[in-house]
Amino acid sequence: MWAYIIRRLLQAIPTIFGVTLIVFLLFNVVADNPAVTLLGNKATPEAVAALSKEMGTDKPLPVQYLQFLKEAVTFDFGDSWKTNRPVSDMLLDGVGPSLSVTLPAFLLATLIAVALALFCAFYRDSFADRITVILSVAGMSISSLAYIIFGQYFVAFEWNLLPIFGHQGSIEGVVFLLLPWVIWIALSVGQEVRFFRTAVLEEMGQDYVRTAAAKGLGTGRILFKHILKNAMIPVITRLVISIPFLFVGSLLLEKFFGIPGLGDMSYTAITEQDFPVIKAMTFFSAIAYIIFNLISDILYAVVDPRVRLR
Amino acid sequence: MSDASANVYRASWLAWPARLVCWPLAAMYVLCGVLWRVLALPFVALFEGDAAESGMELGIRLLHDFAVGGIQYLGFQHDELPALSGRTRKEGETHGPWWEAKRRLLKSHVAMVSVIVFVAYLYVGLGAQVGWIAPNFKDGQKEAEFLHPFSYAPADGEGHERLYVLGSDQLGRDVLDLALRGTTTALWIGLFAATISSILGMFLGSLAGYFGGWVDDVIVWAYTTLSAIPYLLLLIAISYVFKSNPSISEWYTGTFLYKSWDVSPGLFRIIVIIGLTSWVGTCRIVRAEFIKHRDRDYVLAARSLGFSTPRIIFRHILPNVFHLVLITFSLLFIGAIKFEVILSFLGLGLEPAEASWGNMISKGAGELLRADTVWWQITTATVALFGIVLAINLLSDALRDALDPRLRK
Repeated sequence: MWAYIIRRLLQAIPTIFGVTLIVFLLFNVVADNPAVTLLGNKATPEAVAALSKEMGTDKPLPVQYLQFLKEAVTFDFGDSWKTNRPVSDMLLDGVGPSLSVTLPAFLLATLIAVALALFCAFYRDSFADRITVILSVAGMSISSLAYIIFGQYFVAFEWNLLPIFGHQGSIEGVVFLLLPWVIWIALSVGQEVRFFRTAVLEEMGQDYVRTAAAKGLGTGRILFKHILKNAMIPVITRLVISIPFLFVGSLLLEKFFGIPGLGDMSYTAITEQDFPVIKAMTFFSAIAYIIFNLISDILYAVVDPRVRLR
Repeated sequence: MSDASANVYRASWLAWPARLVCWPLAAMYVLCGVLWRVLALPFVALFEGDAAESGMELGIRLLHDFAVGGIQYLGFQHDELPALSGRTRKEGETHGPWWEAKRRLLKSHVAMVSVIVFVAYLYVGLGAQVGWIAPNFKDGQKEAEFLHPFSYAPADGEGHERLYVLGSDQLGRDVLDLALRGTTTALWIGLFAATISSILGMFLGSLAGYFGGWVDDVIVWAYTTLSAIPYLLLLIAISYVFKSNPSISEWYTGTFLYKSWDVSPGLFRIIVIIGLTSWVGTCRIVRAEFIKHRDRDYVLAARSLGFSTPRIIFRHILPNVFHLVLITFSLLFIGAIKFEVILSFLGLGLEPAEASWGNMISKGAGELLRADTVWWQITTATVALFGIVLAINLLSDALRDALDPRLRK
């Protein structure tokens, strides 16, 4: 077990290396000179040169890349070029608002989806099952922007039920979050229902289910006692894998609802060529991705004894 | 599938309308096929004859069979389109998996409806590209600013009136025309982005799965790296960098795509970026299948017969995996269209003047908040997008049921 974890962590090193390489190539090689972007087109060449020197973008590319790797190893990405605040402070400030949108919505959506999936599998091929499946396909087919725009327009603007924009750290701030939660749930529940329903149905076809039925167990008992346990294996894996994306936040929701989370921050950083923020963002999200992937594999082996970690 | 179940086969009653709707496509296929067979004639004549039949005879027979089969299909005398390879089913030969999949697909009402809808979108897109549909979508006039649906406005100085069925936008352009023309944009993006990433994923996945070892390590490393970055963030970052770098757009305006084919920079950028980043899913699936297949008996047989490795990979194993690629292709198609909307909204997609559903939605979002709510532009684009995405979603479900042997009951 421990050998497996250590090996997986060692395997993560090339991945993180690759992520830093992509980000570096993208922003330090392909992108336009950041000093020009920061100062505008009318800046004098001297000013651009001075700013480049200050930011370190005038050095040769290999030196810049080594500098980036050093920052990554020491977890210190310096100060933002735009706000002049330490990047780590900005990230810590952003995690809270991001999670306040994504985490409750994610939990609620999962609950709803699992309940609906069990319901559909229980009454398989009934009218209710078909309607749920059709509605979830239809729900998946609507553009995510349409959900946000029409949700904001009707609920917040036209009917005035909830505030349209803003964020507040305290408990009263929940009113700002209700609409983003509902939209997130509407966005994700369709896909989840379909996935979970397939997982449950696949288990229903197994031999042990027939055995349990032959023993004379009731349908409810088979469903909740036998099938649910096994069907939860792919479900748990999927859920754990999606956790790192909760930290990153929902870029579109944050942008539309003015929530100062990490998604909005990284979008702003990209459009302002704020390299330190972009680098830190991608670096930490890659680490989160790798860690939660590992956790999901370990959990997979824990809940399913047939799986051996190798 | 046994003969008994083949006998009770009944196609959906919608299979006929679907066939009628697809008739022009089939005609195009037959036309292209005949042309291809004519062009291939000299090569067949030179290289492919045997003792029983000379190359020329073979080539003419293939051409004749294809043309006759195609005309019979188009004249509703026959139910199968002829295969481009010229292969015909011999007496007593069982039908292949694709034939069975097609029959299962024809049974499903939902699949037939979505085929009809998708083909309708296809015709609109092609028609708008050629200029038969919405040729004047760019023409707007000041007097026609923000017209409500079903209102009239003078079309020219000579007193002719024109009906704006779905209203007009801020520049006085017909929203219906914009949506129809946007179909072309969406189809190009979906088709090309999904094709690029499918080919890339298929190629890399088959190499990784077949060879294993360091090839596998490198390819797995590449896709793990790509998927470790949140996808939307990656897409936005690449789009932004490519858009803001003047030397890239300068290079692009010099290429033949821009000069002679008039492919706009935004369209090109979206297709290339989505195509080059979304291959991870296909690659994973193909790799896993290749690992399963590479030690099977038929592959060992092919190897011991001395077939070349590319031949084994692409002619022997890939056809057994291809149905999975087809299913992911349809999902990639939808994904690309949806991402176009998001990118255009963030100002990283097509130019604002171009007709695309993404542009219509992003402009419409602001127009909703005007004092006199302009709802028709955003609603039209949303509905148009919803229609094609729903059709492909349902079609890909039906395809999965028809093609994936594991789900057969």
